[in-house]
Amino acid sequence: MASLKLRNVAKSYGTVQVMSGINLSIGDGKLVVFVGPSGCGKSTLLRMIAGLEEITSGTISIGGEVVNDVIPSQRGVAMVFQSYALYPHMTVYNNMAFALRQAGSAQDEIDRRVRAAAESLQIKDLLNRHPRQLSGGQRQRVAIGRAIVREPEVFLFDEPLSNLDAALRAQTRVEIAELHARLNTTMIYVTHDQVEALTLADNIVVLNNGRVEQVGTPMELYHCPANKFVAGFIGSPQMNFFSDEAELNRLASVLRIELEETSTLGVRPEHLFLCDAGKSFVSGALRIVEQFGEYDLAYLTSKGGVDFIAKVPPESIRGERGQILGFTAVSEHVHVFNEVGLRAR
Amino acid sequence: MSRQSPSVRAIVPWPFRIAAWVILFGFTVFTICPLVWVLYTSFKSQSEIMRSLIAPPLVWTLDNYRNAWELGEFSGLFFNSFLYSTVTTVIVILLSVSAGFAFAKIPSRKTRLWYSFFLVGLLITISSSIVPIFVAETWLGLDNTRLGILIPYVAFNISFAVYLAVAYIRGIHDEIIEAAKLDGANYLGIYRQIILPMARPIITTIAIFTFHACWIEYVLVYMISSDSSIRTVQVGVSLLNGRLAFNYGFLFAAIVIATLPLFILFVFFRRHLQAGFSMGSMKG
Repeated sequence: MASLKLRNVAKSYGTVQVMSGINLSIGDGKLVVFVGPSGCGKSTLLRMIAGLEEITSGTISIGGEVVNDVIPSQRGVAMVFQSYALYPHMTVYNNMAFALRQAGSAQDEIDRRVRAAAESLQIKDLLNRHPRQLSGGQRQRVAIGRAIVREPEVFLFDEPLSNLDAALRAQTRVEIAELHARLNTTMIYVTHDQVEALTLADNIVVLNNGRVEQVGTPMELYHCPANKFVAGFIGSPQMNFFSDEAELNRLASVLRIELEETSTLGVRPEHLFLCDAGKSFVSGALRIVEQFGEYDLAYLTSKGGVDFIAKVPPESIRGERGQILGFTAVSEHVHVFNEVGLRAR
Repeated sequence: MSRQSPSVRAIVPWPFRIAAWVILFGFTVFTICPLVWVLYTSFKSQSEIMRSLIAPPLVWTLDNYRNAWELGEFSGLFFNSFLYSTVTTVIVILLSVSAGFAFAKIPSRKTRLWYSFFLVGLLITISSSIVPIFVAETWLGLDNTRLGILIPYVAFNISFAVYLAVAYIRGIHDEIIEAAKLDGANYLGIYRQIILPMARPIITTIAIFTFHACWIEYVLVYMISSDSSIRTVQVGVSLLNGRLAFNYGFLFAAIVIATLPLFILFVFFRRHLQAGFSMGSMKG
């Protein structure tokens, strides 16, 4: 278990800077999730922490020690890869024992640690099998087991659930949360799936274009997004944004808030409530309704031509396509962003 | 195959399929018939051959083999062929898989340049460069020596082997190499414990190709060696041809003897050869 600090970390490939000004402090035993769209640099950042990518400038410290020039195996980190990266020619036992053998551990010690990890992950019956004889979920457990036997100070997970089907993903997500609670080891988890981020994380780091957009607890990010990007990225379906001048004036008067011409106003779909079109905060023509059983999603287009979504109780909308529906919201749930997209309210 | 067949049937109209079968059958017969002819003629006596060149033997005899082996001094030639083919194969495997690992998994501007350099080697044949080789070997005192045959053999076989090795090793997930790095393996350890075992199919393919290329090579040994003690089976057979021009029984027996090791090699390693060519389809 160790803390992790990144100070002004930057990464360039030749003249192209892909990451810059990364400052992060991750406390002992925390589970931190790096989240962001494809190509935002989250996996690159993880690989820089692991030592698989060199950093161009800045410092990375693990347990108070700067590890910029330390080789990956000496950093006290273990990584679970997206493709599992199991050695296909080795049995599960040998896959899990490989790192310990490289470190010159005694055979008794290797055997004890491999069997203990296998027991905890319920894969002890698979120890003599080869990876090709395992299902996706079993491979994932072996990959985690291979990381556990090293007893690292920091676990790194690079989109570990992306190759699993939906049911197995949900199950494995819970198992990883339980694993973290049991081991209480610092974990960094990379995903593009915000459900994984929101459910697993002590803290979430939102990345975009090689920069950290916001760091905070899942609820901080959900309720107080620092900018329009975070507001749009966290939450599913994503937040609705209104920036049409006429609409803004009307919204400002209904909500009794000060808005500038260049402001953007954001409301999450689950914070919109059906009301009479005359009293509405925003109204729009119905395009389609998706039914999910516990709720419906209504897709609408406002008068100003903005597409927005409302999450409403099941079967509460019985209208036809093109029908005008009004929605309201409480002002606490309305987010205002300034002209450069930063949170203004 | 069973999954492919229906789609092929659906796409290709039946007249084309029949035409394809006829052409393939004709090609197979055209290829196999001379081999079968050589094989059964090698068991015919000289008098039977003179009676009819095409007819199968009435009396099967091994005399041609016995005489060819003794007259052609095949034991020494076989030893040389095995020595050159085996030593070249081992060296080519070690060098090509090492180079393949570096070119495929340790990319830099220099490795790309070296790889291009190796690929250019694919365009150069022994026949086209026999004169410079002869001059260089004479100058270096390597003419008429086994080393003088082995060095060009390695050089002329390494390019294709590196090409195969690079293509195969590229198909190995980078994440497996990175996992090994995180597990504490250095490049030598990764090569020995990860790459070599995983590259077994392509190593077998390279071994078969290299052994085959060395076994059938003729021009270099013929040109470099005036000493019969360093010659190979192929040169031995060609010289037998000069000495026993009309004794087809002897000659065909010698051809069968020279071909038999390759035939056995292909029969036993056919699957490995196919596996090597279906490279890049590995899953972790």
